Amino acid sequence: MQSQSLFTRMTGKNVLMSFTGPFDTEVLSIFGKNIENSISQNKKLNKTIFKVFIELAQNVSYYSLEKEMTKKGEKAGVGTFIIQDFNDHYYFILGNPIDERHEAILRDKCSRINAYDRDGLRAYKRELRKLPPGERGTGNIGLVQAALVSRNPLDYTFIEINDNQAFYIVAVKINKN
Amino acid sequence: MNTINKKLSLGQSLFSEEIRISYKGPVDGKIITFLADYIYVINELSEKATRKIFKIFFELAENISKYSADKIKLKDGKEVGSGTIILKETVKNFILVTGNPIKNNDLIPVMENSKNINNLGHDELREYKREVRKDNTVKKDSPNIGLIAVALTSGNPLDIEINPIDDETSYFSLAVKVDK
Repeated sequence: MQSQSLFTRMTGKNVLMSFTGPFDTEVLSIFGKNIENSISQNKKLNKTIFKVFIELAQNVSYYSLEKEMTKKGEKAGVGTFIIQDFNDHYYFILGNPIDERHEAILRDKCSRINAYDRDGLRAYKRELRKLPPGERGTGNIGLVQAALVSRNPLDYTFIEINDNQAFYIVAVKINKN
Repeated sequence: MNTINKKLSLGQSLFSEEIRISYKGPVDGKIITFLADYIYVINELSEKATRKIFKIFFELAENISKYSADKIKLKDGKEVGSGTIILKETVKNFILVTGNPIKNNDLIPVMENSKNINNLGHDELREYKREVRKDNTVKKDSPNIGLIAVALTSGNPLDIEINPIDDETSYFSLAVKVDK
C-alpha cells in the first residue's frame, strides 16, 4: 500500500465513494445499495464490490476499538471505507482503530490468507468456521471471504496511534476484467 | 480535491479526532438523513449550535445533490449529484466543508453572489436575501439563496475556492465555520 495519506485517498479524484463514521446496519444497507447500483455499469462487478464491502464492513462494525452510539441506540464500530477507481481495477480500502494487542493476530491472519491458493483459502475458511464464536474475533472469515471473492491478495498495514492503539488498514483490489 | 485538503490542513490523519464525519459519493435523501442523524449523535453542543449545523448541512448537501456536475444514477433511476461532505471539529468551532464539480455556467452567479455575501453585515445580508428572492430572474431553488442562508446562519464568512477542471467544469469547494 502506498504511503499516501489516508485523507488524500479519501477525497481524491479517483474516489467514487468514501465514508468515515459508525458502521451500523443502516450504513451497510444504504451504502451497500449504492455500491450495488452505481459503481459501474457492470452488475457482476458491482456485486463483487458489494460482497467485499459487506464482509469487511461488518468487521469494522464488530471489532473497531472506537464505538459510537447511533440515533437508533445501536452501538457500532467507527471506521473508514474508500472505493477508488483505476483503469483496470477498483481498490477497496477499509480502516479502523484496533487494540494494539490485536495487531500481531491480524498481521498473522492476513499473511496466512495471502500465502494460500484458492483451495487453501477454502480449507482455511472451513477451519475458521469450526472455531467457537468467542474465538473467531478480529473478523477472520470476512478477510478470507474478501480474498476469495476478489481473487486478489489482501493489502494491509498498521499505523501506530499510541502505545495501546493502532489504525488497521486492509485493502482489496478488484479487477475490472 | 486539493482545495478540500488545504481547507482541512493537508496531510492530517483521517483518524484524527478532528474529522467527525467524512463522506464522498452520491448525495440523495437517504444519505442526507443518515448523515444528519449522525451529526445529531456526535453533537454534544448547545441547541443553538446544533440547529445551526443542521441548517447549514441541509443547505450544502442539497446544493451538492442538485448542482454537482458529477451525476450518479441510483437504483430507482433517479439521478443525484455526487460530492464530498466533511465535518471537522476544532476547540472553538465546527467546520463544514463540501466539494463537488460544478458546471461553469452555474458557477459564475455563485461567484458573484459569494463576493457580495462576504462583504455584507448581518442586516445587509438579510436585505440582500430578500432582494434575491424578489428577483424573478433567480430561480427559487437557486444555490445563491442557499448560500446567503448559510452565511446568515453561520455568522461567519464563506470560504470558497474554485479550481478549473476543464473548459466547462470547475471544482467548487466551500468551508463554513460554526462557533461552538
